[in-house]
Amino acid sequence: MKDRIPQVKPVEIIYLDDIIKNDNYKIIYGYLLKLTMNEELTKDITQEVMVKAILNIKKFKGQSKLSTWLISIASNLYKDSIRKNKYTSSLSVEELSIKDYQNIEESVINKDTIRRMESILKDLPYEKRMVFILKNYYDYSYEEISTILKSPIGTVRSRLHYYIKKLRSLI
Amino acid sequence: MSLNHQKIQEELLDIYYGEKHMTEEIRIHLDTCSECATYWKELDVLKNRMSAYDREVEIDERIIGRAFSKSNIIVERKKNLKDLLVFAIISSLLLALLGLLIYMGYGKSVIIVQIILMVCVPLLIPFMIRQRLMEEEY
Ligand SMILES: [Zn+2]
Repeated sequence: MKDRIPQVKPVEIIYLDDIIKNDNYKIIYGYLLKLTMNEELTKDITQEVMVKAILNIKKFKGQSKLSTWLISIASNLYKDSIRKNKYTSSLSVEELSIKDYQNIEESVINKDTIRRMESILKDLPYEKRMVFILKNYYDYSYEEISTILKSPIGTVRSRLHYYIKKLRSLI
Repeated sequence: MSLNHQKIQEELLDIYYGEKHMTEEIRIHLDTCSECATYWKELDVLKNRMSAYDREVEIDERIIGRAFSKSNIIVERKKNLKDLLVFAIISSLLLALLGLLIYMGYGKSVIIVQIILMVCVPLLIPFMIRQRLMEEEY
């Protein structure tokens, strides 16, 4: 690690090691993939998240979990990319690793449902999608999500409720 | 949907996602109201359906490698910029000092000092080379 990036103190090297630890990498990548629904974009932003984390490691004082800090960076970078209109979402259902279903028929139904859901989900505002992903897949509390996304807790709660309502209308 | 059911379902959503605890009142309501009981089950169905998006992530070492090289380039660039800034400040200060000296009427002396420096500094080079060679021998 030391020869990968110079000018860092020993404590910072420990954090740098943590950044590339499997779990953190998987969390950032998985979060961004669900958010962007686009493999290429996910790779780009994951790389940017790591660059930003490496350069700003001095600002991380261990006040939260490292993964939370990284998720927060990832969210900001995704917001930036949306604002710049750089990317559009496009992840085909085939690209998704649909979990092993008992039979083909069920798999077809599920693919169809997912395809239908996906097209509608893409049209929903990304702020609501972020809240849902953080809650549903990563079990963050409203309070933690509010810190990550810098939104009031009430807004976080209403976004989740809105999103679930939309999802329910799809299934 | 009556306001009561709607309110209960909002509570149920918070309970499902671990933000609130199940109260006795809601539990009783769930047992007696089929509408809210269906809603509660639907939350589970929803979670299962959405788990299709939760795929196994494979680590791409190239992304990590590129992130580190990009960070190094940025750090290097920042350092270069800092050096350039320091150089610009020092040269401006020297230039200002010279200007001040000339303005104060020391122009002639400044030129003489400069000529001496231009002649003497190259004469020092052999000594500097000798010094370096001696250092390298150690
Ligand atoms: Zn009810």
